[in-house]
Amino acid sequence: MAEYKNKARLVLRVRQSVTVLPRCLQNLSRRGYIVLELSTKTVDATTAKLTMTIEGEQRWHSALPHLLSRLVDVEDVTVEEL
Amino acid sequence: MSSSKEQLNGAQALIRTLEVLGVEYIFGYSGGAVIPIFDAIVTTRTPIKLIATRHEQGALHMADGYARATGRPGVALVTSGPGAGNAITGLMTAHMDSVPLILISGQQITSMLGLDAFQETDVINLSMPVVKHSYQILSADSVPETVHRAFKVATSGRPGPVVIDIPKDISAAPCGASIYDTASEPEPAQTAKPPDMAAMARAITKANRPVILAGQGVLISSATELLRSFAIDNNIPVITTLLGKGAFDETHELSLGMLGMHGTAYANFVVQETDCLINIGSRFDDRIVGDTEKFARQATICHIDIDASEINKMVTADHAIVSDAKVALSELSRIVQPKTRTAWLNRIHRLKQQYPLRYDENDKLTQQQVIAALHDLTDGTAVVTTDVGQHQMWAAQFYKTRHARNWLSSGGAGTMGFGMPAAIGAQLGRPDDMVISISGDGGFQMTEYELATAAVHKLPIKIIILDNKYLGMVRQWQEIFYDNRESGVALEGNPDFCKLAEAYGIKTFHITEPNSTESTLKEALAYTRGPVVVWCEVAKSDNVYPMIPAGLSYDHMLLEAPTTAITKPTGST
Repeated sequence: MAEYKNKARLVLRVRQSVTVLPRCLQNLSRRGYIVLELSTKTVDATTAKLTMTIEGEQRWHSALPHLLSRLVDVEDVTVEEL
Repeated sequence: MSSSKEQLNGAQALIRTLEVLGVEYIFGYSGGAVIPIFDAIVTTRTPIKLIATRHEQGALHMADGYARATGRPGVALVTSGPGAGNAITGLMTAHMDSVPLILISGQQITSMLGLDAFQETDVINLSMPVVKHSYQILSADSVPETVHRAFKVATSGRPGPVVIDIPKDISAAPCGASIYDTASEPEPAQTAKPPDMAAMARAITKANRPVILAGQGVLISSATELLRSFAIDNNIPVITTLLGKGAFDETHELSLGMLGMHGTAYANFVVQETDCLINIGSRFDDRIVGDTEKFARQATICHIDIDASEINKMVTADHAIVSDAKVALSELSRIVQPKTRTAWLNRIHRLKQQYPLRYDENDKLTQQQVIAALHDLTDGTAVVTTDVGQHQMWAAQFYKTRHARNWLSSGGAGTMGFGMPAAIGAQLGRPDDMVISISGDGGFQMTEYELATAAVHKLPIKIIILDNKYLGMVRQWQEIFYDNRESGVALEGNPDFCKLAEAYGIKTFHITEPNSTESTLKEALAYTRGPVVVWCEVAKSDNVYPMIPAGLSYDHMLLEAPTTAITKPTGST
């Protein structure tokens, strides 16, 4: 089992929907990420902000905005190395 | 936009919306949760034709074949529970190959959701990894809008399958929303940033030994004519991926055929010699790349893809453009400076002469002979579908595809059983074109029950069964990498495929030796009153070459059977 030591903070602005969170988690899981912390905040009636601390292979960190912004209901993604 | 004045229930609103969206066929298998939708097909007197299949997997592959052959989204309809479960392989197949497909699944009534009711399955979560998106409709009023949205998602950007799950009470409830009279406009094509385009154009202009790698993105964006003129004007040879077959006429002198694990030797040598690899609409699949560190090591890598997440995923690009292939090619055609590149084209000509595709011709019938004869008899212009395995690779090598959307094969998922149902969908979508399904005996038996569907609708598809009584590709790997220990690959108990087809009332032919191959195939191809099955009993233990063991570099390409033991590949399956 690979040891992941590279943490990052992932912030997503999403349209509120039942499946947006599991879709994000499923895509992170496929690239081998684990989620250490997760918080959600309602921005307005239709939008929410998801903040995650994730751990995974550093080479994928910069790919995450492209990977996750493909998903319907995901509007904006930023990644910050920790 | 105006509205229909009909009083419709949710199921009828669904059918009317599908009409507005231009749907011709629904490929479906009924069941309790979709009775209102099947009923609506009757009560609305819709012009949409229902193709009732024998299994949900068959329905999905038919919708997939229709979509690949026409460029329009295919529509499948299944019931809840096992119906939705049986659809998963078809969704996965479409998802891996970026095929626009809509799956409508019935569902338990809303008050029973989550209570483990009869045939209740959470299809949204079951299918999540293998769809582009999914919707569960919880109000009949939202049916038209959701269906429009689903079609837009399925066809925009990088296409893919979308699930619409409809509980039975929603199908039966009155729908108060209007039905849109016109389909919504597709998303505008994605365009590249000018500075990125200029840099890529300079790299291409500068190159003395460039090569184009054309993937399915060229086909999806209808850029084949642009690709042809760009390649010819700039004297750049073209390699195609498995799914890119048809993006460039494989009989043209600039074509190098397919590259990769079982690609042509000359295409693979060219990849190692090129100084500029121009990837247009391919995702650098592992079957192409092998060892990423040693792939195209002399080349400046240019990558054009509509999906930004594909850039730098497998191969790091020196120049990347996130764009629709047609838009990018149009702009590159304008600014790349043409060059003659005589020395490079001469080198390629020599490689083609030195390492041609070949096969043994003796008294035993081979799969390559049958496929080459099919190519010659049709001049490479038929729509060809395949299953997965040796026959697929030989078909890719020896059936030289000349036109767009004429090669339908499960690439990413590698789904056996895809070919024959996909041919049914393709024939319905392209009624004036010849459709040939090429299957091995293994794959054919996975979905053979759809012979009934082909027979009922009298579809003139040509079903070629290349029967070596083996799972040939796995046997080949066992021979080369596992000291020839065969395990689980002998297909003992295969039926007499002619008798099987005749039981469905289908015309059959049987080929067992090379001399009668061409004349028998000619007769089979001329039969148009319904489907025809051609059972070809071929050599049992033939192997596909060239071959690059998985995960290794092109330096390890085997042109023929190895004389010494080969290390088991570790890079990929």
